[in-house]
Amino acid sequence: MDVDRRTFLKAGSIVGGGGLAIWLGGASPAWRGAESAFAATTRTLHLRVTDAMKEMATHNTINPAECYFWVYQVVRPAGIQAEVPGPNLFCRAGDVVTIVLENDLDEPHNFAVPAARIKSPPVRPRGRVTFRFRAPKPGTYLYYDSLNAPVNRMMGLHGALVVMPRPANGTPYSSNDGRRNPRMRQLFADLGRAAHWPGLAWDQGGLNPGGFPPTPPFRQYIWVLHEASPRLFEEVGRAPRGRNFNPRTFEERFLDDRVLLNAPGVAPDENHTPQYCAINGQSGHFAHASPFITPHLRVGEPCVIRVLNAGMWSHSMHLHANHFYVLAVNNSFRYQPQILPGQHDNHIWADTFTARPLDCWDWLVPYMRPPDVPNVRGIGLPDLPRRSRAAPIDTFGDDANGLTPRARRTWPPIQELHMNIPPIGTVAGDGRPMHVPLSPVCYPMHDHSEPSQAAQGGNYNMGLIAGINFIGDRNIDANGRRDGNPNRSLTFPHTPLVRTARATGAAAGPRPPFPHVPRGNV
Amino acid sequence: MSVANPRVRIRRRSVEAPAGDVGMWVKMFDPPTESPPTPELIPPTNPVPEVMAAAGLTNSPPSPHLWETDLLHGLSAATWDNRPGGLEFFTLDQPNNRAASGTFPGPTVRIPRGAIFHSSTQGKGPPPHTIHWHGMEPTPMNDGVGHCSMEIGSYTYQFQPNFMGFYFYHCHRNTVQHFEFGLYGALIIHTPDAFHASLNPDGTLNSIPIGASRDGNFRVAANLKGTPLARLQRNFRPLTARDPRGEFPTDPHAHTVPYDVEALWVVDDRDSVWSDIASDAREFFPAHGSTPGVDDQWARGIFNEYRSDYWFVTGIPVVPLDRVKRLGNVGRIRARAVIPPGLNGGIGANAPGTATQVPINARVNDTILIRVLDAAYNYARITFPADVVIIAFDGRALGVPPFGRYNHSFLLRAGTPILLSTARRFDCLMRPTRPMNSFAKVEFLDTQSRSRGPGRLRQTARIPIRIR
Repeated sequence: MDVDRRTFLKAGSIVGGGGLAIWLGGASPAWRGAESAFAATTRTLHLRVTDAMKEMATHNTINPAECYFWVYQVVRPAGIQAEVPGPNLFCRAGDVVTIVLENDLDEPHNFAVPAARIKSPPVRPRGRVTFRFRAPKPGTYLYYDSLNAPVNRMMGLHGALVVMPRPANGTPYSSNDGRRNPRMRQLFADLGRAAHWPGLAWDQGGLNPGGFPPTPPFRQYIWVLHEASPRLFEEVGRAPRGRNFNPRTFEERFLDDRVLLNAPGVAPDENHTPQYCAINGQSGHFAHASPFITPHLRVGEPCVIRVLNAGMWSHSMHLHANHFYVLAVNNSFRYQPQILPGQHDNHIWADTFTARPLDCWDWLVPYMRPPDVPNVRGIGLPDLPRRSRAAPIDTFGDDANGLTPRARRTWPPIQELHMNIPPIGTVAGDGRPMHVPLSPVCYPMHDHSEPSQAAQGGNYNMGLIAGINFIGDRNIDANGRRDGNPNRSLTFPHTPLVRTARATGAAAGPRPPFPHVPRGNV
Repeated sequence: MSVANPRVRIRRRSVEAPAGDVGMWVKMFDPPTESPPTPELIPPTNPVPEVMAAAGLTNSPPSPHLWETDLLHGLSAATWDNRPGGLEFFTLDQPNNRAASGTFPGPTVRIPRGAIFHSSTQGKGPPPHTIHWHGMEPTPMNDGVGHCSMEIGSYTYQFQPNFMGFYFYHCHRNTVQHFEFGLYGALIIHTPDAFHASLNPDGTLNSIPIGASRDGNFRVAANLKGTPLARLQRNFRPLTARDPRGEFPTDPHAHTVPYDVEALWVVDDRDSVWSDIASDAREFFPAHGSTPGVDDQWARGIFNEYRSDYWFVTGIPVVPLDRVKRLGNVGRIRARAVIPPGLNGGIGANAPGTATQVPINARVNDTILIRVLDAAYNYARITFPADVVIIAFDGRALGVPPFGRYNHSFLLRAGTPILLSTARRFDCLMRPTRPMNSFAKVEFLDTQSRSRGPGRLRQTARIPIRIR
């Protein structure tokens, strides 16, 4: 069956993201895949402002790497684990949402979507308020506690609100925005239709042979950026009861505290600057290995990534494997005057872009075959890959006979997909296998403003990092030839059997034991 | 609720069973050194090693079309103020290239579009290393990111650049340190006929300037429609048009415009505290405990803090006008400097006037191509003294169909600043109609800030522009 985009005309979205997603639009949206898309569906969201101790990225047993936070804990719907940031909230333009907000802490708190001029009344300690808002125009919004700025937001009281258009129009924006921004509309119109973008349209799903879950339509992911300082956050937590922590003191310490050096050979003391930088509350391995933060999609399955910077550091985010189109910045197509001076509806195709504090911006990742894989004409179009006659590779191969196949073409990269680095047979001191298959194909996204990559100031790669992984290709067969059938696809070995553009349990906590298919169908 | 007794505890996910991520976890920050064969290997066709050898800049490559890169080597460089100990740099070099014996930045890699590029890469000194070809998009092993594939050892990276434009390459091992300490260089993709055009069939050089196209012009991908420079654009054939001479799969000049002068502005900064405290390339590496993945321990470091106090433009120091080291001060680079051909793919070797410039010295009505990369961990805010047309970001020419249907080149007026964050690039064209003795202004700004904009101004650098 063709999962045709018409089937989803009434739909809002199928969601991704690292945290829990909650649909605020009332009755569960009626389209395929929705049953597992959201952790909960409700019109009334009951949140509690409370505190949490969170274990950050490390496995260092002499350093528990704990950090104190304030959190928006979901009280109802029940059964949702608390996380920093708060839940990903989804609704459609015009939906009326009710929020019940109670305050467990010692100073006033609120819930605000400042970019949409939405703000609850302040809730006094131990108090509770109920308030309603009408969802603003379609786009990406940061919700946060706007009181005692920036302290309450930085302490963890923030999250993403995504507003989808009603009715769906093939883009993530309103039909008005589509009329006023013809290049943006053209981009979405071309995906899956123009010769240079074979595969699925953004709002189109597809089936996958081999027992793999269908590819959902409206593929989108949320990346909430944040920086955490354990020492400063603990000082805020220890402030005298009922007194706001001085926000200017907070800013000075968070932004400008100097490293405290010790004698040579002795680690520096922890100061008040951020020790951890996170996407959806996760750093390094814990973000990149999560299919709910890092898209796991096939060539020809374009997705939207919504980047929200809740922190006080600018991040210069570099995606590997595909250039992305910058769609809207802060739900505007006029962009920021310093970054693209004077520009309107001018969607640069970039590999790195700037997320300033409080910016919300959207990427379109075309999920094209990484274009610098050798191909016939070498002009970036989806040409036949170059022929390859490379010899079998032994040491790193994972075939039954220990040899990867002879290469046929440069894509799909069959030899590379069947290699392991470290190779099979590598074991730890306790005998555990340590080999890592190179499939599915893994690429990072990292902040090139690199101090954000250093957890606790030291180890690289435990910072603000995610990625895009390629689990297959829906445009070609195993010989690299074009295949126009939207319901046929190649799936690479070791692909997790999980519907990736889907919300899941909390990003922290035990990882679900995703079953893998060892071979795929290449 | 309190720090001592929080309502909620948020646990870290275990990398142990059932997730079974221990191998991936260990590989993410302390992978073993590997030297695998290149999968899906095909013969290289990059003509640049032969061109450089023909120009007498290098020995002949050890095998045809093979580029070579070595890392890392150390360089201790004096600063303009003779700082005690100078600044430590990590450098790349090329075994067959006398000029490329450890410079900051590393040699510029230039490749014609569509050529198969092979770089034979050796990790030396404290291993391991990688090279990531930033903006190139090959398979993961050729993308050079350790936790996604491997760290070397030795390896031959393979890719075929498909889009003309401005990129760079850098070591992606402990990038926070290795990129900062200088393990990077520029990477520029030319028209498909460039470099080929300068070689005679017998392997000697002809009179076409190295790097120029077969019509003798240097060319850059652009669509200038709707801009004040639209009249520079003559050949507007689609990228898929056939090559009229039948030498390449498609017309190598489609959607390109000629330029006279190329300037390369790689703006960079250094925090001298890092140089003093972390001059070891393995500084703050984790040390394994007894059980991998459980007791991996790492030292607390200083890499989460960055306070630049020295600045560079394409390796040339920014010297304060008053020669006083002070936050917020204004400095400049020297008025004349070109990139030596041996560090620049041979450009300038057979036509000295075509050497790539840093400060600009050109003539009225020259078309000047300025390529800008922010290699600093600071923001770089750039202000030009004359109008320029922005023609590309990150190696993707604006307005060139089909992928450029959704964007277009645009005019940036004199005096209007444009902001870059780390690793972002743009290319622009300037065509001055009057003599000028001026400068472009580069402001280095902190990334942390109280507001939505960039933070504190740390230094201003002036890049001289002299038009006769």
